[in-house]
Amino acid sequence: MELLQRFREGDREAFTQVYRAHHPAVFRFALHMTGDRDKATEVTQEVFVWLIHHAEDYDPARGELGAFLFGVTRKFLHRSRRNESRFVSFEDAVERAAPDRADDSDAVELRRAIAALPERYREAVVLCDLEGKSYEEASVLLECALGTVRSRLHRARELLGKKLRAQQRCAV
Amino acid sequence: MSCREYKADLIDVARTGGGLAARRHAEGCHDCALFLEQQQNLTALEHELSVDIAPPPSLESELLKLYVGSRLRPRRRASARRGAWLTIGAIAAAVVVGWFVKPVSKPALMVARTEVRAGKVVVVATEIPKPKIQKRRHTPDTDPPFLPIPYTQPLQPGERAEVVRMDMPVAALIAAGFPVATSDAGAEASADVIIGEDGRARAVRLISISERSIER
Repeated sequence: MELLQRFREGDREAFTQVYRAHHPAVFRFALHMTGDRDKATEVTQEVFVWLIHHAEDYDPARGELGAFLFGVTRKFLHRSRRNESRFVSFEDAVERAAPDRADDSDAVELRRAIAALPERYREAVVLCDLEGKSYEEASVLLECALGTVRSRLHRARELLGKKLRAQQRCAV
Repeated sequence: MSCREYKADLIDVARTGGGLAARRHAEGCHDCALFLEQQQNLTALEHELSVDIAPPPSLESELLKLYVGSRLRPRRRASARRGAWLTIGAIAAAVVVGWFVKPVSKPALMVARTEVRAGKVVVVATEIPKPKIQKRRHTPDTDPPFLPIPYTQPLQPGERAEVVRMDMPVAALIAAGFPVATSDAGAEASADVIIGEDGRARAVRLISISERSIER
């Protein structure tokens, strides 16, 4: 509470503390959701720039700052995806046509497979499996029922399992 | 319980290790055993993804600079407010002065031409008539409909758009294929243009045409 007040008042030390406490979660979530380090860095930057300019929008009575930043991150990811679907740069188009397969380790394949999942499934996998949140925590963050989170996660894991098995067959 | 029902529990077994009944079922069912193994592999791979990831260290210093800069802004705002008050004062003073000062009418534009009067050639100055601007009065009920610009993607349902009024040469409208009833292609047209979210013009509605040509 006091930290946030100092943050609002322009205390550099408070900013550093808030950033260091919350940037790993924001970055990890963005990275798992996009599967792209540069995009994740960009989204992380946007989230904290937003916080700098809208620190007053956070109401501690409504929840923790981490959950609030998670919601902001989701919005920026959503916006980023919407913009991407509208314009594809020439470089990206070339890359999509001929993806770099130099690093085809299983983990990289899994990251690609997760990034290709529909958003609602991806969020469930990222929060429950990669971020280690419980179904209850994930349902609060995603603003949906606990059963919904569980069924989305199960569906996502079935899809991932199939995808990875298919890739292993191709590799053989 | 069917295999399908057990599979939901087997996913939880692979994630958290519990679910004795599902585990026992998998021991006796080949398909479910394969499914459990696949899910356990997936869990192991997911653990590999969760280690050692952090944004570039330079991001913190960049954000800190921005943070410090943003917290200096209120001072600038105060000076901007002072500037705004000065501007308002200057405008008020100009209005008061303008009230008392009689406006000087501009002399009409004259052109010289020759005439023959009583067998003599004389030079006569005549006044050039001011160009008349025809403006069609229009109300929202009588506004013409928007015409889509050819070869552009139409607005999607729910897409936000902005209507911008702009002046443009009639020739540009004719070239784009719009039926414009005027004999002067150099005339200036006032039109409402719908701009989509991507900043591209989608449709045009002609408002009025003035006879005054656009000076270039």
